[in-house]
Amino acid sequence: MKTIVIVDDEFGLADVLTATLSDIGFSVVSASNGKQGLEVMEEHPPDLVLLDYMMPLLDGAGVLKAMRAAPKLASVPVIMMSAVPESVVRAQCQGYAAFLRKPFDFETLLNTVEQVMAGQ
Amino acid sequence: MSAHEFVSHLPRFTSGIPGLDRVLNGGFFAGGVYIVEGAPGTGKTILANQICFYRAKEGQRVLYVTLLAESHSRLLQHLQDLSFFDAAAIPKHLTYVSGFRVLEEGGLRALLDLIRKELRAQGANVVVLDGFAAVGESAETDREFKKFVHELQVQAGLGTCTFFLLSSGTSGEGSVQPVHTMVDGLVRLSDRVFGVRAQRELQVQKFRGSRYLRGLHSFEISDDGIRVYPRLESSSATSGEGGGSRRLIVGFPRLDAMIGGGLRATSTTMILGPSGVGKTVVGYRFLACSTTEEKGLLFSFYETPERVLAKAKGVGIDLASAHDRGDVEFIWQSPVESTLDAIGWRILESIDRLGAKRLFVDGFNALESASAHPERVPQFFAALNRELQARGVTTVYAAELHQIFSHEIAAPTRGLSPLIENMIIMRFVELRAQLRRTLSVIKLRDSEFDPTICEFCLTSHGLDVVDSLDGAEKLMAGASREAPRSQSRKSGARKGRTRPKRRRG
Repeated sequence: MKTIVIVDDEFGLADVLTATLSDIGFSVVSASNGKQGLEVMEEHPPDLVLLDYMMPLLDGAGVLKAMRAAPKLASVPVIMMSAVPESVVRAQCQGYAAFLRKPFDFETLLNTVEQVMAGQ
Repeated sequence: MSAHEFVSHLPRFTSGIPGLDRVLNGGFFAGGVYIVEGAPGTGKTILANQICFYRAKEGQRVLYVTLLAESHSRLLQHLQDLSFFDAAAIPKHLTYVSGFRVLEEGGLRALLDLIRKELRAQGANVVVLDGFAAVGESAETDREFKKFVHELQVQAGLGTCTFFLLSSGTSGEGSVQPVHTMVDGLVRLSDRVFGVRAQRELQVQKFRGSRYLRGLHSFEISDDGIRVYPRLESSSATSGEGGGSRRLIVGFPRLDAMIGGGLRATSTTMILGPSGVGKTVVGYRFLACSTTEEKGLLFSFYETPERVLAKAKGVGIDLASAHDRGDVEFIWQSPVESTLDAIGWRILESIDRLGAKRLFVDGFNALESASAHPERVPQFFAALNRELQARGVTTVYAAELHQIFSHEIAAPTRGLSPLIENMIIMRFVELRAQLRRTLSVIKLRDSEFDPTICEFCLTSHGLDVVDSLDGAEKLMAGASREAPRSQSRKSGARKGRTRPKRRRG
């Protein structure tokens, strides 16, 4: 079973994404800020990370930078999520596999997850 | 970067409920969570199902989750006589599931799981939770309840579906519950009793992301479902043509001469007089002048179309020809059990459909009595006239003076006079032991008029102005009498020929 780590501070979103992705057969673990996200990834090595861009304590760009510097996480694909346009995010950080503009729907999420997983 | 690039606009969808989208300034937002609140019997279930069947007809998928003990078969039995009900849409486009037992046995978490799975399985665009109060009752803490609503919001965003939460609103009208702060909109339905009458009313109390028409709007439930009548004065005025200096003849030459050749186009005229004096005859004559280019509409609270034709024929007015040509249309409106806004919109929609430029409303007093809130009649009247003027319509109202002989002449409603541009008074007077009819113009905005008090007769040829009543005085005071001879002689008045100086209104 593939493991997905969701790192998002938006109340409720991580719960719903967790439940939805669990329904279709993924093992899902979530965290509500970047710092906690890195700790969760240490404990549950992910096959894919859904990462919010704007978060307290450590934002998405910081998490991505830390992941790329960590040998165990360096090659894990990341789907960056944000309500701001990708052009804004891309100016601050690079190295993610795909971008999801919030709000997104289930189908867009699942298609993106499948594409990124397939490209691994 | 513009705001549009930064935040995309949320799409809206039409509700399928006539009038509601106008109140909402274009419909609900897709992906929103809306509470529809109201006491039992106020129409929540009909409103939600009407939206569901309309969305299903538009090709969308709808999920209706009941949290009530009532069975689906009973619910559908109640709906099947309504015209929007389409059995063929069930279950292909519209699926009814019960969440009652799931909620009872597994609580809010189990209900959320059910909704999430069904939403995915059905690919639903619209989800209704009927009996939402049960969710609040099942929540062990306020926090759990709020979390439930928040997760619905996330589901709505992720599934691009819209949630309608139907609640009996046990909190009472006007109160705010914590959950109200979380949702995108709150629509309240009520059924108020005024005297022995009841009037259904809708109020949008919150609607995120858009302006909307605030305040109470009446609505009706008929065999076609719900129809909302936005409060006319809450709508923004439609801009339109001005009347210019063009005049529309009434059709009685003497009266037309008194008012400078006719009524100014797009003006509003009130004919005041007691019952039987001949107000309707003037209105019929005004409509008989309608043409294909200048169509007429009779909106009558009293006479049915058959009686209108017979009555007009009886006084020598050929309304039938204009009616047969399609230049005049008659609409009869029952004076009872209708709301002010329903009447107002019926008039405007009829005007729009026909493209009418002449309107005669026979029975202004019925408009007044249709109002559950009498204090708003002047504002309603102003709004209606603004809409009619914007449509290029010249309007004549007939209003009844309740006293046949009186020293008092008052507009039917306080505050109305400034809104009426032209006013014509028709009265009965007693003179020389005879009952006579008089007609006088007392107001003609921005125009000169002949202030003569004329005597007229109703004959088989219509309204014949016989004479000016020179030599009589106190006619308008309801105590007519012959003026003293000397006074009459001094004025040099001669029967039937006097043309007093024109007065400016």
